[in-house]
Amino acid sequence: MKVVVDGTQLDLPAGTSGLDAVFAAGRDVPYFCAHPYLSPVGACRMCLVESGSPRKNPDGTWVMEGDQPKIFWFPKPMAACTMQVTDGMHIRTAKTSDVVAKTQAGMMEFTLLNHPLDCPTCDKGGACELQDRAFEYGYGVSRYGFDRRHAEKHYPLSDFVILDQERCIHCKRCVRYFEEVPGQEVLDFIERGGHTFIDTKEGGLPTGFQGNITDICPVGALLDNVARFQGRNWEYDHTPTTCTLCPVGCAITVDARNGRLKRVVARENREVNEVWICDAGRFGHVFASEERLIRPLVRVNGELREADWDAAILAIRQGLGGMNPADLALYLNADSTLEEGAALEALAELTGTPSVDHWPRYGVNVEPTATLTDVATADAVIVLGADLGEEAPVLELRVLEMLRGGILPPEFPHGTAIADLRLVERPTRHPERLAVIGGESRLWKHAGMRVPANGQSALARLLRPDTDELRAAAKLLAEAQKPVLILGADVLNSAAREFTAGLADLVTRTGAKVLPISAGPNSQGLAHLNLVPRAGGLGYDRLAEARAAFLSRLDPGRRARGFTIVHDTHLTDTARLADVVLPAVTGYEKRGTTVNLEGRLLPLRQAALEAGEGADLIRTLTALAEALGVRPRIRGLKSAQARLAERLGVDVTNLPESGLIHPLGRTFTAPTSLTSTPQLWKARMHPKPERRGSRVPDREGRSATWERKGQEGTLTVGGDD
Amino acid sequence: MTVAEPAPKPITSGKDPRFAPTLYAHVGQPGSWTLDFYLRHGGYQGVRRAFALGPDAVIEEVKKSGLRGRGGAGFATGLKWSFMPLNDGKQHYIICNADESEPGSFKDRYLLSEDPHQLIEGMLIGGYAMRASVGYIYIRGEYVRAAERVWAAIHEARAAGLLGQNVLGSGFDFDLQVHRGAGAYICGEETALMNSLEGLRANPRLKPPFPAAAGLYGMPTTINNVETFCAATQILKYGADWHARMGTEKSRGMKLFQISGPVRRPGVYELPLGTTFRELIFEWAGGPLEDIKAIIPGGSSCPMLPWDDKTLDTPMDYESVAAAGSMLGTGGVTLIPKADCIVNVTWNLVRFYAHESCGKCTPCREGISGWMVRMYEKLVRGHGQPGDVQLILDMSDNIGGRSFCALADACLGPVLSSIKLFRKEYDTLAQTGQPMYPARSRWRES
Amino acid sequence: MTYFADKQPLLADIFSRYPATPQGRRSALMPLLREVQDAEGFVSEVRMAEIAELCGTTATEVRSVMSFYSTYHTLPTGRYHLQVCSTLMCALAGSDELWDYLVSELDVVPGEVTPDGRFSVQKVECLGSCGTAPVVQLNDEGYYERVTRTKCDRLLAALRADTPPPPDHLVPVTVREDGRQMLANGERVGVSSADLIPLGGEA
Repeated sequence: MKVVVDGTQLDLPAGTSGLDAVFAAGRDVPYFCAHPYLSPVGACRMCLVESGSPRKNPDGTWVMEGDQPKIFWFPKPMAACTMQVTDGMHIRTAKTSDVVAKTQAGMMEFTLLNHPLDCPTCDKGGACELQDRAFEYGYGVSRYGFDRRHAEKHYPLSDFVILDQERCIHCKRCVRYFEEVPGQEVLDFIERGGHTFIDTKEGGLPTGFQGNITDICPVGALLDNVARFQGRNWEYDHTPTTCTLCPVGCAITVDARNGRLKRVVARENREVNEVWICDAGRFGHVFASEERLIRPLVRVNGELREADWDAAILAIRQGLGGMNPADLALYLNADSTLEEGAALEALAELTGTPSVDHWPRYGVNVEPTATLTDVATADAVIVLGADLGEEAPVLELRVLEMLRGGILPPEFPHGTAIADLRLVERPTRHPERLAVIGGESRLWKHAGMRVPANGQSALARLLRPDTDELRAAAKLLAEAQKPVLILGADVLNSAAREFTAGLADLVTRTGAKVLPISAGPNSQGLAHLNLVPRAGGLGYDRLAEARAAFLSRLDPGRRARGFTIVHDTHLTDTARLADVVLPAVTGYEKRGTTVNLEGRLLPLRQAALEAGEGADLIRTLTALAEALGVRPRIRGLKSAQARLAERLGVDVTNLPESGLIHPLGRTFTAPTSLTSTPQLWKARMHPKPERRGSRVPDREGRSATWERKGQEGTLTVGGDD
Repeated sequence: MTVAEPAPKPITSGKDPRFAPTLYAHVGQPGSWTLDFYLRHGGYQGVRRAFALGPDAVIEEVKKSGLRGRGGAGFATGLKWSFMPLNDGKQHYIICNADESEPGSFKDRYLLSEDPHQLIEGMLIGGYAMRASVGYIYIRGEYVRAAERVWAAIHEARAAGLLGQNVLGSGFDFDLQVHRGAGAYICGEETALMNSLEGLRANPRLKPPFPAAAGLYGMPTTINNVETFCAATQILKYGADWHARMGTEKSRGMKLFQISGPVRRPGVYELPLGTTFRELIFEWAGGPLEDIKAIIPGGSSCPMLPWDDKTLDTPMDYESVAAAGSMLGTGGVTLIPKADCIVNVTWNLVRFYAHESCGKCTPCREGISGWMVRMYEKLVRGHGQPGDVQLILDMSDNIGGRSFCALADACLGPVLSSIKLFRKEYDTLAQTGQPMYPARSRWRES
Repeated sequence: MTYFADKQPLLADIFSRYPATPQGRRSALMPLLREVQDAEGFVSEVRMAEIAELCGTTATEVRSVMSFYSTYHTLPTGRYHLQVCSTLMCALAGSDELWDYLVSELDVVPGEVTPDGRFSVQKVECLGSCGTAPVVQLNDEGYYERVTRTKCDRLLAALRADTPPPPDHLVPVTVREDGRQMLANGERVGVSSADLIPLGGEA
């Protein structure tokens, strides 16, 4: 389809919006209400452009003007976001049209009419769409000679999100987000006209995915309360990396200032999280800069005392006191990187220890055959024994996307389509495409079929349906063209051989793709390394029997029978029992590679956080090897990655931004007597009130505080107005 | 005497000896709202004829009659009806827009309360033509009596087999429901009305998709004004030719004109389209009670016209009023007294639109609801400054044609026309702080 | 005690007006709000939550929809909630003075209720009775039309005595019993619809 923007001719696919046509032409148009993953609504009226189309004569020929089809211009400017371009359409932006330039400047004046001039104290300053666009397209002055609207400036919508009602420009992104993405009608406009404001009557926004509204707010109206007043946008070191709190592997940006992690925001990965992340991933980062273990600890006279690494290595050497290195069990957390796993595998080979394990993991490995995009575009999804909210929250959003018809906005050279006209407000949902078999979870209310079941019975019951609901679910699976089966902890924990056979049978019969949710953030990757107990070795479940053990970032609350070395970021309960504690780094501070539940290799990058003498597992294992008196083959990231290339046949040094799904070869399994209970929010992730950026009163206390305002010793609310 | 023979000259005056009021034939008569009364006066003959003609012929009949939407926009009704898809297997809906809230309009209220069966019959005809089996009548919340009378009429009609399964043995199933509004002018906008009916905030929806493709509950839907459906009843009863004989070439038929303001007999008059303002104001309404300087020709959003011979001799049809620089709208004429400050008068209307703005789009929410109304208040309170009027004009330029729906443009109707006609009053007030026409008492003692 | 618990036939009637789908269920929101307000004079948060449950939505949505429309109240009004049309056509007939008179006479401002619980006042926009201006609406009931100062005094006296007069329903129309319209000078012109010939009415 030929479209002409400011005189530049383009070839665009049918269905493209005017807004994307403009960007595709390398031109610019301001917008506030449009968002790539939300329905275009044409509310902010910033993207008005002039447009016109050729017309046909009754005989089917074009109405000509000279040797060109005559362009009939619309008498008034059109909102580019809600206008679908048609063949031969012409568009003029502010660059070539004075009418558009004045329209946009005038609209900016209206938008700024009631917007407070508190940019110097606004967290959004420097990264604010309104600020940027006002600079680019505004008059520079306002002719509005009246008082601006006054409203609440510190209104907590929840513990995590705080609303400044004065700054709101009513773009409705947040309202649409809740309705369209997590499918929750928990935030909406109240009142109408110039009095309109957003609020919730649910006693606070539900935890889950609420934080995303702070990313999409084009102004500083909705702010991350954990990061509030922690720094200006230009002061932060921004590190694009991957979240390792769960196996989804969402793209995030870690913002640090003065070596402290201040904020996590979502980043786009069209294949994984689109632009959404969960609240744990966004707000649960406080542990990275709180109460960190920054120096090694050595037990002296029964007490752990600070030491340096040399002293710690010495203490280990002495503690192991000539023990066979093969007697040292090696255990690591399944959120470790592939490189770290490779280093541990190599060390285990070197010492010959049969006692190697990673945790959490399941006793079986089910290889994923479905991607997250497959889930979103499926025509039937069956969730077996999973609580997505605890195991892989963003997977829940992709399931909900499937219920809305799985419309994925197309990609242009300028990025994801900004206004996909196929996305509509209050979309029709298809609950009949979703069956949930297992325990009750948040997904429950979205599902057309719900069958309470536990453990392994979930699959067994689907294979031999004995109720109408189950028969309906089995029928759904059988009749679907692109079904996906999601397996969660409840089934995978208890999976045995007959499970694998049953699953294989089901897949063969229905053509379903399978997406097992990994037990740990990188269990899917680590399963391809030999990190399970060998013959005669002790699994993690038998830690207590070990003559000596090294635990990296695991906190079972127990120690080994003999000498115990703990490598962790915090002084955990287990660390308190250890003989030597070595400081570790968090997932935000690592370079390396993780593998998400789809089997997608994703890069981790190192944020500029103050970690004291903390060291990642590779360096720590090097030190451990020194204590053991062996010389490890992997001594750094480079050699680890070289080994990965050898072991897994994949080059992880230069992964594409959206990651890479690559076959990683055989997996290693071993039975375990432990059960992994997925829990997204760990205790230390909870932002305690005193850790929070702003000391806002909670909702109940709010009115009381207003009354007390000004009294000595109370909180000052509304200080800047 | 009858009007059966073809008339050489179209009927364009209420005084024409061939003209008979039909829409309001029974309005004001005792018991006119009952089924019994309606049937005694020839009721439900139009729908019987429709059933005899068949649905496609009904649409043709309405097209031939030249009927145009009486809600304000004047879109050809038959053409609108023909936009509904045929045999698509979907549930079709028709909706009657009885959210009459344009200031100066009050014709539908009496149709609803005094002759509800005429509306029911019109909706039966429309539903039959457009293959809709369900109709909703969206009545503004304040019209309590109207809603009661319409409900009562629906129950009567159901009991008499005029609504429900197999209406009058035609094989056509149709039922009606009343949905009451709750005070929002924007619900007069058809897509906002559908949102309201669906229990949502009444923000206007994006078009396309147009209602005929995806309207109420996403199904093909057509919305017509009360008067339009009632006119369809009369067209089917007396024939398209009868209807087409009234009015001007492009504006055919009869219309309910309303007149308010300082006039001897304010009220509703059923006249042929093409009747002049002069006839309505002087001969029907008895003339103004005081000196007049302008008229609002068709409801508050229509630009004001000056009080002069040219305006008075303008025929009230869609084209002539448009040519005079305004709109026929709903046919609600309001007289603006000379002795009232035009800025104050306009402020009242701007305040109305500011109050009714839904808040969805920026130019209306901020421009009208936030800024324009304050500019007027500033002027009226005597705090105006030179340049204020120019600023209002420039703001209007940034609002006009830039908003999501027509509400903001509707507000600009009185604003721009009053500035154009009475710039001197504006400038005097802005520069001196004193209105040319000071406030005065208007409330009558008895 | 929920409001609708013992009103199942009413609920069934309201829901039957709309399709038996989630969207149709949501349509009952406004009629349910109206029911509660007519019975209780306002809609409390508890009732909002109840209606949300009935319509398959949340209290947030109910509050949102409710606040959009100007005739729903979240706070109790007086027994006689007087709504004065303030739009131009009524203003030209003196509604501003009528309003000022009511406010000073009753000593009440919008949002308040008089101490005896009788009166509250609200300025509203065009009530669609421009031919019989100025107009005052009582509660959700009916209009008092052509309210002159004398009529206003009579009305207030009646309300203070708790004997509200029946609402007016003036029909400013000049079609006479014979079906012909009357000009201002008293002349009847045109013909009656009874003289028109219906086509094929006997299908």
